Amino acid sequence: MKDSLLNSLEALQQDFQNILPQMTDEIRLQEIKAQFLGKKGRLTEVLKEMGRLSGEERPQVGAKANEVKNFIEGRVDEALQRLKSDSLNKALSQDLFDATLPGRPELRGHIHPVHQTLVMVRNIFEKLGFQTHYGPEIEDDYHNFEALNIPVHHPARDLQDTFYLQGKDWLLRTHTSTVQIHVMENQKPPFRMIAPGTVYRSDSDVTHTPMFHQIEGLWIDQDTSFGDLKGVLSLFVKQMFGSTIEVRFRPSYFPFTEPSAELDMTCLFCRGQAKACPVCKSTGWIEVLGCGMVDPEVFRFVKYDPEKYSGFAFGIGIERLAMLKFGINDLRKFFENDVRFLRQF
Amino acid sequence: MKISLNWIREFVEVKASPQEIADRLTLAGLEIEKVEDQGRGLDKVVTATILKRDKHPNADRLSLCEVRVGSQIHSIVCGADNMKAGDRIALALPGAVLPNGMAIQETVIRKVKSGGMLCSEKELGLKEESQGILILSQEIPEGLPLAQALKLEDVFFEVNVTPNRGDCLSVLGLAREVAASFKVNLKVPNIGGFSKALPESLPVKVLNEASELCPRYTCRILRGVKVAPSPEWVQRRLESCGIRAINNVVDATNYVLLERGQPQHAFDLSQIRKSQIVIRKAKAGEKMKTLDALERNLNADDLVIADGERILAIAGVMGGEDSGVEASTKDLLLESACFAPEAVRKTSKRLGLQTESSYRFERGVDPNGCRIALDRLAELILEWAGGEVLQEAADSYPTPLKPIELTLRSERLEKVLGEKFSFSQIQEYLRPLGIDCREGKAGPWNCIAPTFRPDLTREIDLVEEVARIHGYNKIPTTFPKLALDEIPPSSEHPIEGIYRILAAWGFCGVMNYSFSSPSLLKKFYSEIPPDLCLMNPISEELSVMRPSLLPSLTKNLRDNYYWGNKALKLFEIAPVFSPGKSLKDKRGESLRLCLGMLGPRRGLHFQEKPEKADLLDLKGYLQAIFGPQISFFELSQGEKASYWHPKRCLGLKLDGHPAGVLGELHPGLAGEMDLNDPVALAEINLDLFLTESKNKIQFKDISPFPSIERDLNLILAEGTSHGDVLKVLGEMKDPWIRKIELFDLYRGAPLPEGKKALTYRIEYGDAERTLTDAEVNQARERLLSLLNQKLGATLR
Repeated sequence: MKDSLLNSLEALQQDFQNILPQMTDEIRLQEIKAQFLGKKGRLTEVLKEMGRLSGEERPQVGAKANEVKNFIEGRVDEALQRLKSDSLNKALSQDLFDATLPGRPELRGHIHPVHQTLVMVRNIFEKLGFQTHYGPEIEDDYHNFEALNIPVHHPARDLQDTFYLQGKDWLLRTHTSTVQIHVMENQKPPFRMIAPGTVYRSDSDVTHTPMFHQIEGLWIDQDTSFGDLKGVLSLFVKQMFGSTIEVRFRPSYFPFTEPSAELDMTCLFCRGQAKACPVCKSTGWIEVLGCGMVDPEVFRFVKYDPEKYSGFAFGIGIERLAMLKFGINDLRKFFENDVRFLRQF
Repeated sequence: MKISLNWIREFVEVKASPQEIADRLTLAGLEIEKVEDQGRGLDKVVTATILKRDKHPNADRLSLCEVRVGSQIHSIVCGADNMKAGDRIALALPGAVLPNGMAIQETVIRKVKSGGMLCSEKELGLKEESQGILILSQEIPEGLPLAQALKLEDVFFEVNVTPNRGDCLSVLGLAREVAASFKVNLKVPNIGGFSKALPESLPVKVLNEASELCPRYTCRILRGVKVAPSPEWVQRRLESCGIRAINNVVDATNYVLLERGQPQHAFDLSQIRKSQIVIRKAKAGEKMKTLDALERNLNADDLVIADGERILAIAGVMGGEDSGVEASTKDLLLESACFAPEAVRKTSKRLGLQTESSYRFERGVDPNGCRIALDRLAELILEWAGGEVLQEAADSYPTPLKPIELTLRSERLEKVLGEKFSFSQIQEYLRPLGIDCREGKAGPWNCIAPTFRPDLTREIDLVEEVARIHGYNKIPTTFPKLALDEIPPSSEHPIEGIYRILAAWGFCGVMNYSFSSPSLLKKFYSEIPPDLCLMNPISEELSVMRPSLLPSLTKNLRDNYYWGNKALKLFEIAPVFSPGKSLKDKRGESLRLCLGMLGPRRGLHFQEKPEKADLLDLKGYLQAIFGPQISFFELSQGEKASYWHPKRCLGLKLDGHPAGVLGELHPGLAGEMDLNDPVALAEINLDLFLTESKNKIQFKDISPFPSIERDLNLILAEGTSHGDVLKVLGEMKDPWIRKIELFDLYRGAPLPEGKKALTYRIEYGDAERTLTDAEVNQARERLLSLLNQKLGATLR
């Protein structure tokens, strides 16, 4: 009896296995499941016979019946899953969507390259402990010239052609150095400041626009030396343009610094090779900024003791840096505001 | 300034190459912007003699010349007409590549062979313009390379001399710098000591009536000179330095000007009346005609050189036409003087007349150099124009300038430069510059600055000289110490946030000039306040400081539209300027944000219908940027500027303070600018935002109790706005209302004419508990009845 039941279960499983591969849709599969496992299914039929087994035999047959039941259920579930995913895959494969169509365009905006450069420069100096200050663009003669040791009727005034407002009491600042004076009038040393801003000079040609941007910097302490100026400004250039860039300092003249210097860096375009390079005029060097030790005369105007304090100042033309940074060949493009230009940055 | 290296080498002996010398000068602060080799392109150009000139057999306007170079005879076709047999000329042989790039080869011109070219000065790069071919002096031997024959083996430096270094506007000054840079001696030739001077006493009297503006005036008389062209090498040297050769007398003054930096003037002695030279201030209203044939009006600040009757020259600026040297001039009065820089500058600026002379006086001329330069001038004129010099010279020098004694402390030097220097180093650096140094006993060093260096008046000036000659690049690079507690608090840049948000939304940042054109401003404003106008604009187009960013941004939109750019979203953050009293108080500057949109609100996808941007786009952006800080209000008729669309324009407030306007440009004005789509614009004053927005963020707890939503579908009269509804809802002051959202606007059937439907979704909630349906329904009822009462709203 026991053996015959076990054989029936075996046969049942075998039959199921034979029939299973033919099951290609969900309804048929459910029918087959009912046929084998349903209330009137073949397994139930077999189990009905179990009552006739002895106490010993029953668990053996029961275990086998369970095994067969789990086997069938497992296979049915697997088959169901497969059928579902087959039918989904089939449906998806019939989707007519063309993913190669253009994406829905979203506008990306752009920050003006001069502003971006200004922020880069400002971030470098803020990292070095400089604090940002701002000053007015409409200035008086005192802050723009006199307190910076540029007396009236001095030829140094020719270096900066000045715009005046009606009445000549007010002018448009020709450099951000004015902010040095404002800050020193209100603050005691030591300190480090930068002042980004717009400046104006009455000059307009291929290499000059009547308005441009500068960042001014000032470091004042008791023992600040020209060596320190070299250190801080070389560091700035390397942070801005890369650590392989070389710099050199060349004597120059600014009325509010002494000694005064221009900082040149390796030409980014010919890498200092200086052969027929239009950017550095084949010198291998590009002028980057003007700097110097604060002139004692300036300290006298703001009532600092020039014996006690020393410091350095610098001024950086932002448009020029932006041109170098982004390889822009014409200064005037900055002010045309053509979005085909602006969208490149 | 362009200067000859050969000339510099007359004063200093250095073996270095021109480029090396240029590099040293640049690194000593005298920037050499250009090194120009004069002989370039003249390799195969030689001096030759025309033996015979015939007409070209096949061309009327050409000549055929037989030209000899030593034993060789060349047959040359030439188009010029100024040569004849016997002339010494410059012949370019086949293989020459002239300075202008022209390559010379043997050619056949109209069936006649031509073995080279007879050159003009222009072709040789000697002059900007020239006529005919260059005819050389017979004194020049035949068969020499042209560069050698004309002493064209020179190199010219373009020097950028900073305003503090007037002394370097001369060959001698630059030679001194070369000497100091290469640590060699300056060669200073002896001057004067005229062996055959006329014993006659001076026929003119010098009256210096303005010695405060003319510290020194020296002059000499030369008799019997013969005015003629200068020697060729002088003419070339001057022309190459950018000074036009005129005659031997004028050329001599210019030669000394370049050599010594001392401007000078030669007067025709016969034109000096009443035997007087008077240095005085002009009288107001006095006039004179300068050498350039222009009549100049003078005033009481101008210093002039006059005779007993009239003005002869504007001191240090330009001589007069009447007293200038002419071909017939026989006797000369040579002036070598020192005039106050400020006085010369004032006059030169006022007259708009800058000359080689005024440029140097403005930068300071050494009064102690006047006399030597005068003798040098006399020497040159005697050599080039003959004549005799009078023994006696006039010299008005009431207060001789003494060299300044300065102290230089070794500690100071070290403090400023960060490097220690010994006395012997200092001496080595400063002595070649003419600065005499002495070692004090244990004290500071004493240095005597020469009077030709008016820029050396303080210790710091000497520090710079030491650094300059030592070499900036030899000073060790160091890093200043910065204690951690000295690092300032990190700076806030609230504007940066706005930049980034706008860029993320597709706005491009523009940058306009702060000055605007009156014609553009007049489209927006009936009047332009005179306070905003520049006194000396670059052009009319850039003459008014802009009172608003709107006109320029509108122009940017328009320009881009016409360049074919679509979906325009632009912004600018910049100060604007306001006129009147505020200019003097706060200087009238205020920071503004301006936004503008034109055309499709985003890039177009195919099959999508383009939607044009309008006021509501900008309103949404502004609300997202400023959040609850921003609010909008309707402007009264009087508050609306005429450039806005009368119905599409709103005022806006930041933190309750009026701070700007947004709207669409008046279609009439837009049409004038050829724009047919709505131009959406907004301008916001950021001053308040910057001062008041700091630390504004304060966390509010999120209520755990859910919101309950109710819809209100209202029928309203057309004249009633969404704003009116919001106002009434605001008046309710219902603390349960969390959010009011408009989600539909409907016009048309079945609504009657003149009515519209607005559908709102209102979110109710309480922070303490969950509201019941009944409570919310009651709240909705209260709302409805108030809307009905105030606005006549009914439910749809």
